[in-house]
Amino acid sequence: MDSSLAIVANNLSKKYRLGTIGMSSLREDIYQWWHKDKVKPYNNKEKNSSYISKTSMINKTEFWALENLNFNIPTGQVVGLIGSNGSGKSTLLKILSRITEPTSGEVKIRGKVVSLLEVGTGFHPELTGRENVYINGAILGINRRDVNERIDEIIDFAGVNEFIDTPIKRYSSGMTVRLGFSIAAHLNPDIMIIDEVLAVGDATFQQKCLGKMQDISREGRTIIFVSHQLHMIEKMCSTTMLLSDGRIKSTGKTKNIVKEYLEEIYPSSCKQILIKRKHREGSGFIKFSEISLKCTNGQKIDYVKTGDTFFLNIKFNSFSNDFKNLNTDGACVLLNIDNSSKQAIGAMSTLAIDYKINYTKIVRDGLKLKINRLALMPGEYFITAFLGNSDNAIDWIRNAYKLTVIDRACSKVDKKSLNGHGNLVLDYTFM
Amino acid sequence: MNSQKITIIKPSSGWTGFDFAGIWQYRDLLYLLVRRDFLAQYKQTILGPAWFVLQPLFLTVVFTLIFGQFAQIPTEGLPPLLFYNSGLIIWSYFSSCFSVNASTFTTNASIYQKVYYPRLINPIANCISSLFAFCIQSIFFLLYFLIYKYFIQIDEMFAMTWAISLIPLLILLTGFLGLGLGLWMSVLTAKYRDLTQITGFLIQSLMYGTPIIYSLSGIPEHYKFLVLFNPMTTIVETFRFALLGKGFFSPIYLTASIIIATLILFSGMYFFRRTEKRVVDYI
Repeated sequence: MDSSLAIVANNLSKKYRLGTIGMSSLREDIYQWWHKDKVKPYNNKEKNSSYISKTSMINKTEFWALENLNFNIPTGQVVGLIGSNGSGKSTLLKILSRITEPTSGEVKIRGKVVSLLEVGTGFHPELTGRENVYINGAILGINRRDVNERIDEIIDFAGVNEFIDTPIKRYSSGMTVRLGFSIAAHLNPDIMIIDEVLAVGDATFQQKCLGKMQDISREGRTIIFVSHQLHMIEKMCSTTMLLSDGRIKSTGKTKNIVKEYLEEIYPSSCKQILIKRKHREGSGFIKFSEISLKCTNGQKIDYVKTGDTFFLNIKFNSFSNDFKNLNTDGACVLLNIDNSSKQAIGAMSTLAIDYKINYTKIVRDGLKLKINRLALMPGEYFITAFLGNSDNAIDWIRNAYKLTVIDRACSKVDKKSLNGHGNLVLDYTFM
Repeated sequence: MNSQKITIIKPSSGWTGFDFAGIWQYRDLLYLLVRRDFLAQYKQTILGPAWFVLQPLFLTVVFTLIFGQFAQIPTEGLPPLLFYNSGLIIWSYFSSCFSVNASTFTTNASIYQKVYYPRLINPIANCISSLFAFCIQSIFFLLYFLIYKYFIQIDEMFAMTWAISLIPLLILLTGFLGLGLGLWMSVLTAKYRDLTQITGFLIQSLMYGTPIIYSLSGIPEHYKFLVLFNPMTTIVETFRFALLGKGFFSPIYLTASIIIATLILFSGMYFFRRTEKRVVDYI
């Protein structure tokens, strides 16, 4: 093993059996064993017996959580690990932390690994914070002497000085997480594996953790960091590995990989072709044909970030020239925005800002809508498109366009604390 | 950097040993777990360690009433309280080792899925923790012993014998048996959760197969070999012989017990080790 490498994986694979995950009952096993013996003799006579189909069914319920992973992680790097749910991230971490064995292949690891798959594993609620620090340290494989040397630092970092001799059961969940992270971070492992645990703490503590992790990596220790919060990955990791369906899809510079991942989870939605949409109402003299997203420099984009200014290009077409006779009175284009739970969030209307619709012009050139500093929280939104005049609806498509808003990466302001408090990002200052 | 230990993680094929080195490396955890068990037990309940004393005392009183007074099962002329209590304290050490360890995998599932350490640490810690109860109960036994010896007039003589020096060995053997059987059971309950129901029943049946409420001398000669098959029989009888001078002591049977206990322990550890590698995948 090359001395500059911390982790080397060769053809690492892990197979799980579906359906049999969870415990089997003795009755089932006895039943299976009994019937296996009974059916077997028939197998020799008839090839297509139920026994054969039963075993082949069992083979089908296996699935590979990881398939032939090959990678090297150099010492002292902070490596991000991303991928959608079920891509194999957790399985990989479990193998690296020796919780489960691979089915084939091997990993070589240099030095002591501390994995934080869950903060505060093994905390006992009845014991005080201090007592738990020692036990947690020991569970992570650090002896008492080493914990003794750093216990003050650990308590300080977690900010639980006043409560350290109080039973853990009286701690808030935030305090528990802070203490748990603090223990792992101060035990100087050679390799630290962190799985999404920081999502629990508040923004200040997250900042503190990120700082601590940067310190750790500067000391030449290796960190593997898993998070769905891409801005944290972008901030922390120089290299990132993207897992998809149990394979490494790509490895490389974090910025590129994050972009690739976003394309994977938000497949090209930049252009929504609307001509063939069946579910629409209205007279149909003019129809919405396409809605697409462009950023301010004219580049087509798939998603927008909170706070972005961008354009929605709306195109129309018409199959006859009859639209020229349409009443221009009260002509308007209205775009309603609903959130993913189909609650109305807001609307944009040409009437409201006194923009006069010229039918010929919009059929020829389309309509360009500029949205300034998008005030929506990350999430998915659905835009309903309406074209009409004072007589009736001309074209009306519900959920014509799915708008994906993602977190503003590396934003200075952490909006995480606002998650779950609605869809709007408010513009405000406190005095 | 180059001096750092390289760990190779790969599918284990065949037998990989008991990993005593791993257990030694995590000895601090062992110590802290024992301490934790003790402190938690102490802090959680109002009466704390008093339970250790009250429980066997209560059982002893019940036994004295039912088996001594009503059923009139002979106690070799010993005061029933001392007779039952001596058998019960060593038995309850065995039964607590057995029953706590029987659910090792299911109790610790959430930790086992999050962090690696040699899993054998937990059962070993349990056996050591259970010793606290044993010690407290022994102290109270001594108290009863002294009261009977000096304050209550008894016709039959009883006294401690030289075999008292065997007590550490007896405790070790009891621990081995409890641990070994507990490990066996933990492997089975990890795979078949229904078997958890059996643990209590098994312990109960084993207790009736061990001379606790009766003495070996009271058993008809041609049934004796059945009871002697049970390694706990020799242990309980020797224990009673050591403390009260009445009971059955045979170096041959004791040796047999040592062999059986060691076999059970190592076979239990063997299956435990085999199971611990795969268990997180299906627990």
